[in-house]
Amino acid sequence: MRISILSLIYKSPRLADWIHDSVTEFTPMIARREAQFTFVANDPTEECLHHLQSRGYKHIVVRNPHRSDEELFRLGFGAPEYMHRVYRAYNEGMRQAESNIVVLVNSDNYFSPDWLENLEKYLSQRVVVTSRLVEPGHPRHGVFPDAIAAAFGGTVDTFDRKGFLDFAEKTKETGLMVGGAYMPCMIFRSVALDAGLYPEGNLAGRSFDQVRRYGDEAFYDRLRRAGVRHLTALDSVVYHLKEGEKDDGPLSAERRKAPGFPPPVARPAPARRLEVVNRTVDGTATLGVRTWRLYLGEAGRRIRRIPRSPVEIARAILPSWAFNGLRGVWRAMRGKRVGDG
Amino acid sequence: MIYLNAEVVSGLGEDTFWTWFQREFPSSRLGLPRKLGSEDIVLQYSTLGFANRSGKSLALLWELLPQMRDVLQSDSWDSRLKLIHECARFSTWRTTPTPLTSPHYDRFGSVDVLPIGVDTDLFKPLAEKRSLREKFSIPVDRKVGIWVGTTHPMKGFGRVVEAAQRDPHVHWIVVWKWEAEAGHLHGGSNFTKVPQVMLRELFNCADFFLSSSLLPSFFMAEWEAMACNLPIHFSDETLVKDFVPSPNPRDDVLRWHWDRKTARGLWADYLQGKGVAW
Repeated sequence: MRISILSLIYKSPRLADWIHDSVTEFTPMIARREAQFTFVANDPTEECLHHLQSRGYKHIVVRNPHRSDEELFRLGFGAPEYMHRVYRAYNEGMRQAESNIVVLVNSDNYFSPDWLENLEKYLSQRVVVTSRLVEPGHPRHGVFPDAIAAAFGGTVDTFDRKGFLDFAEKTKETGLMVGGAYMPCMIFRSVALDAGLYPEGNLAGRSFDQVRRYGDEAFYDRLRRAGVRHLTALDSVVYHLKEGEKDDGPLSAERRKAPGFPPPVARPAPARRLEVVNRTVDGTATLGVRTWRLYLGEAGRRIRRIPRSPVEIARAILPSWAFNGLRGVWRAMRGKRVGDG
Repeated sequence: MIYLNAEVVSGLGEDTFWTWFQREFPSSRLGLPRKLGSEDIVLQYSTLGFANRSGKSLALLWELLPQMRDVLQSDSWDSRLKLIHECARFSTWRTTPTPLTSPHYDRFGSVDVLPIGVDTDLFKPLAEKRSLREKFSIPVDRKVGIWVGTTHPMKGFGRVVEAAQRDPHVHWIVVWKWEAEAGHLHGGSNFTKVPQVMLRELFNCADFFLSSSLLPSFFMAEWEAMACNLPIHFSDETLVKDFVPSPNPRDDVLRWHWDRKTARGLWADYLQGKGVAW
């Protein structure tokens, strides 16, 4: 078994069936026993656990300590409390995974043909690859940055399967984008373990309710510091209902107050599209746009950036505050010259 | 825009998939552009490796090298196979001409079956068999078999020689694709590098086509013979092919949607479904 696909579940048999059916239909590697799909039953309800058992779905059970907000804050974690358990479960899933490659998905994801093959083809020890997400938007959380906004339903019942699959076929293209959404993602298990996995919660600021950094962002920060680049495969298209288990069924007043999924985070710049520009003789792919070169191979995979213009050299050697300051001065002077003219 | 990235567009001046496709989709262009728009696609011939562009690409997995490697147990084609596998792996979509060849590539993702198409207006049954035989000095009163190929081992010319020795009453028409890979069958009517119109006439001189191939897939010449409604005889009856031709093989060609008119519609629908505009 080369690939372990992991999805959290805690209470919704309907979502369990939904994602199990979807991942099984669009992942022929499972039938070929090259990949396996496993639920991480995260503090599951009795009904949910019984459902997984009765259906014969492969699963592991994670029971979390329930910590108070104060305890979490002392540990450096912020709101909401349940994200502490979510990240713990993903980490436990990766620790227990039987394969060297792990794929993390959401239980409200719906897949399209070749989604997994097209993640794997770009995977390396220096890359974490994510799918191109399609989202309908959410009244509270909007659309995740870098996701495509297209509405094919917000619940299992209203999901427009044919509409999404047609859209995915028309949208997908070979290529990579720097950055992107955080899930579904594919990564070497050893790389994730070496990077330290997810922090066990969102990182708190000055108070529990003030989030300094969301947990998935912090995990990708750790990966980046370890030299692992975040890329999105433009030909791995996955739908995100954006209505997770919390939203599946009546919500308690307490849960209504808690944010469902980390809300959109402002990014400094739109992701850049990479282009396949060369191929090395040993069959590895070289991808890039002008100055970017990304080497994908079984060994010695690396990314390097070769500054070429004065601006790029300045950006490469100066701290960002100094570069931004200089750029501001330059723009101001240019504006003055234009005004003088 | 549709870009056609061919290895050889028409090596012998014949009407190929590429020349036909360009006629049917007049805005399509040969070659690989520097950049692809969101509604563009490259039809990439597999031996060229992957289309080195960000955008939509379709790998045309028509080469029989994977079958040759399996059947002939040789690693002579591994470097070309590597390019083919790269093409299959990195292209947005993959296509093979028949379902039989798809399993060679399904580890790279889903594989769609699309016909290459055969010109059923050109390759068709002709009534004047006797006059055609006289035209090419082929005995009018003997049973005539035809074979088309090269000396490449996969074509199985040795089996033609065996068949000729086994049944001396059959007169053989042997058509060699080009001089570089041409042999000779003693006692037969040998032709080399014939135009497609002449090939149609030679098919119509014959009573049957001998399929001596060692590979499961039908060669293009076999599809063309079937379009002429020529019965197909097999040297190896145990070889699993895409289908067993009926006594009226032209019907099989139509049933498999290999006639160009149907093929054109299938290609157009397929490309439209991928968001390609032309």
